[in-house]
Amino acid sequence: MIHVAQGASGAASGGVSQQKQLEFAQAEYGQRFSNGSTLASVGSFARDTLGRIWNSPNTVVGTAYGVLGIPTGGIGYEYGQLQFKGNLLQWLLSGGGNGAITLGDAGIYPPGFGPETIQFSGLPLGLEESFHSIQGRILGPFYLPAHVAFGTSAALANGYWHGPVNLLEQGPHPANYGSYPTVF
Amino acid sequence: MLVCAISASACDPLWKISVSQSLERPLDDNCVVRTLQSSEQIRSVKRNGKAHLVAVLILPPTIRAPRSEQGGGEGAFEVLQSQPEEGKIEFTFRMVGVGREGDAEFRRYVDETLTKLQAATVNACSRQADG
Repeated sequence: MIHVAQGASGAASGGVSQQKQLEFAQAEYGQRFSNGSTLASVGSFARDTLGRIWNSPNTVVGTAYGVLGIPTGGIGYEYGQLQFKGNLLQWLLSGGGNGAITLGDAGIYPPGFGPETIQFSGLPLGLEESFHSIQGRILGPFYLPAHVAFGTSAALANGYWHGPVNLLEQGPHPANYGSYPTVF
Repeated sequence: MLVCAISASACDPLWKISVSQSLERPLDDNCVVRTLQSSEQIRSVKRNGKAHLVAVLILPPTIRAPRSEQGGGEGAFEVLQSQPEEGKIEFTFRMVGVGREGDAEFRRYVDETLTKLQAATVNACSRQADG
């Protein structure tokens, strides 16, 4: 389940209310509150739990990376992800700090950026990154190989890793202001 | 080695265009919001937590946003006031995005516009604070 953070850091972003964020995130993951039946709730819980278990190999790698990379900005939990902020290893490996990464249900951010950072799209970075976690709950151990395959295809076809062919990067990060992310 | 490979494959590169000014005292948020909203280049300004505003910049049709096929549209940027050291306020306008950064024209337009908007805001809201 996507948990949209309460409080200042996860509050309504530029033009998109918190309730709206929650609604589209839930809808995207196949969960809708409108039904509200016990059976639907149990189904959602089971799917979420199974997804997290299936995603756990990635989460273990992400958590180890997050902890060993020294999260100088602290560790939190927002958008259904463990958040490692101000990560020095991520700063080093992304060539001076400009790169975030999601591995399983763990989001890792370099100093200067965090899940609360508002994107060009008007959405918080943490919300966009949480859609990679949903990818991981669907793809499980195939998440990283799939990223390599799509990224390589995009590099060959478009000339860069995050090119239009890389579906795993297009959906979570909308190009236009006011657009909503999708899983793929 | 494994971490490097993983990082390269699943890392989201972030581009940013940022303009900053050092101030002696913080600016009133209400004044910042009012000043930015009075600009024709700004669609809206909203609060997003403590010391954090989000404004939406209108892009002219001649300017193409990153990953966009055509010109025009809008993009959000953050308005931040932080205190890096005692007695100093860092007033920052920052636009951030994932993926490939925009072309030189886009970057120049955003940089120049944010610089002008920031100068106008500091001018209007510093005077208010002094008065």
